[in-house]
Amino acid sequence: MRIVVCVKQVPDPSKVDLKVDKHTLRVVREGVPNVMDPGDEVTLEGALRLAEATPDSQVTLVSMGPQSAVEPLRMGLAMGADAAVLVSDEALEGADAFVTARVLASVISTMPYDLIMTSTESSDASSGLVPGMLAGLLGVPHISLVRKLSMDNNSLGIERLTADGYQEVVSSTPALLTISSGAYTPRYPTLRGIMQAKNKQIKILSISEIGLSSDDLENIEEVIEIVEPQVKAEPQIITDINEGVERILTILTQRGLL
Amino acid sequence: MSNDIWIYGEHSNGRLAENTRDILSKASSMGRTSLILLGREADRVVDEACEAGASEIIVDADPRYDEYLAEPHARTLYRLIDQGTPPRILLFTFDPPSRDIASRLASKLGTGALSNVLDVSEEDGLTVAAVQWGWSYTAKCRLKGKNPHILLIRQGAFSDHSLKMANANNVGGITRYISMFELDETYPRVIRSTVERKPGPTLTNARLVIAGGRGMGSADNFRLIEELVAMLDGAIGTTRAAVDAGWRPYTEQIGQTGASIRPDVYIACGISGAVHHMKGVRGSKSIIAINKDPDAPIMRMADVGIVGDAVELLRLLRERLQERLGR
Repeated sequence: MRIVVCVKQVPDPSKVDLKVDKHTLRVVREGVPNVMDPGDEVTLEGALRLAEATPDSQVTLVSMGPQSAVEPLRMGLAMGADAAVLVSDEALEGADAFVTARVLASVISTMPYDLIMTSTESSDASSGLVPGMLAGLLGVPHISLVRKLSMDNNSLGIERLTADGYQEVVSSTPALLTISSGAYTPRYPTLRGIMQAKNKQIKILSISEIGLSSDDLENIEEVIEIVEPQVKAEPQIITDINEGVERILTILTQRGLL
Repeated sequence: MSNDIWIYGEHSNGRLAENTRDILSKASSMGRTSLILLGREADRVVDEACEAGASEIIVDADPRYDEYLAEPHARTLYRLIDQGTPPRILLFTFDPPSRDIASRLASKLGTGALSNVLDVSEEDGLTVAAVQWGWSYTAKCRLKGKNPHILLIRQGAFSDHSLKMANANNVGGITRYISMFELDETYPRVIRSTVERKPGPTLTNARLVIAGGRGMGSADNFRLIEELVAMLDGAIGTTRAAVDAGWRPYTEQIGQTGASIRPDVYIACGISGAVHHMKGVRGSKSIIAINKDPDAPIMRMADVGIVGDAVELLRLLRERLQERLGR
């Protein structure tokens, strides 16, 4: 089983609120602690478990990002992935969902794979579009919001979340799966894993090395203005419970909910 | 150039999704609209779609749309676009099934797509406002590229739209197709669907969400919230801490690793307001927090902070509602 896991480096979502540079209109990544997207850790955990349960498996990490994105890849290798590839190129700064999908598709199409696994959405951009676009470009089916996964006689048994419950789905390979963010508890890298990761190679590629040029990589949207969040008015504090209940009833009525 | 707007109609249990209705009413004020309804129950939604103001309705009731996930939907939309003049804009909701379809279609067409859209306008070309980095900022963007511009609209973005009028006279026609797509049978197939939640709005499309955290004290106390959301047609939510404690299922979790909600009113009961929780509630129009601790972070981020025991307050609220609703 050859599994490709897409990994993204993001500003640590548990520590920071994202800042945007008013001149470049891009997210500020300098001076901000960066980590592997927590959703990707969950996805990698799912991939490692499937690989452990399936003989002759190989887990390869693929990422797009600045040079510093080797850090989450190193972490993923320490968790147990076998190899890692990073596409890093100045021309990719500010890439939108479709550009990102095209870059990932160009890299992944050169490697043999049975399964591609991604998060359902990233914690910073959260467009939720890259997985479906990637699958579409590669011409493989995709199944979103997977929470359980097994492999039996070359057929994938999948449980996926829906708006009101869950579905059981069967699929052949190759396929792309997006993993639900609560599906697994990611493991911590062991000391042995960290040592072994030092001997694993991270391949870094530029866009020309994956057969693309900057002309291929134009965003569909041009940001013309960033609107800052509204400063919230001071909250109204109520210390009497009965008054609180009345206030809730008033708000529900004003909002047409009662 | 075509100024037509197409809308992919999300529907379930014979009802049009509320967000689709909102999108339809906004789009009707911008140009000629075509609503595309696919799936076993598509025909049941047609009357409602006429009332909601679609200029034209396209229907294909092949049951395989419900069995084979996104791909048949994307293939049919591709074919409809490819065989005629592409519309200028193609609108989807931002719900997961629509995301899957829109993203596959966008890569087939080579057009790309934009998520988290809050507003669409024609000024010096097509301009949209979109949430781009969580709820930290919104960005105004000019759209480049070719038709159709594929946009995914955030729940509630168009719910305040003044054009809520029903205009059934506008319907130009209903076009019915039979099985617009071909599909290899080895495609991933749904073999069973299980409904786990009670009827009512979902966490992401509810206009009212009441959530409880560790401050609820016990799993039992969440019954109060269940009763209240049933009375008010809202949805129940929770925090990671309460999920970790085994009090509530993960499907109800709000925040960084759970659902992002955007209701008109969000009531947080016994929730301290950890960063990862607050990221999921930023889009709420009105936040009411109930907490014993006046210094809990959520009290600073709420519109109204009530200092007190959440369970006690919810019991009082239930009494007052029973009086008002006569139950």
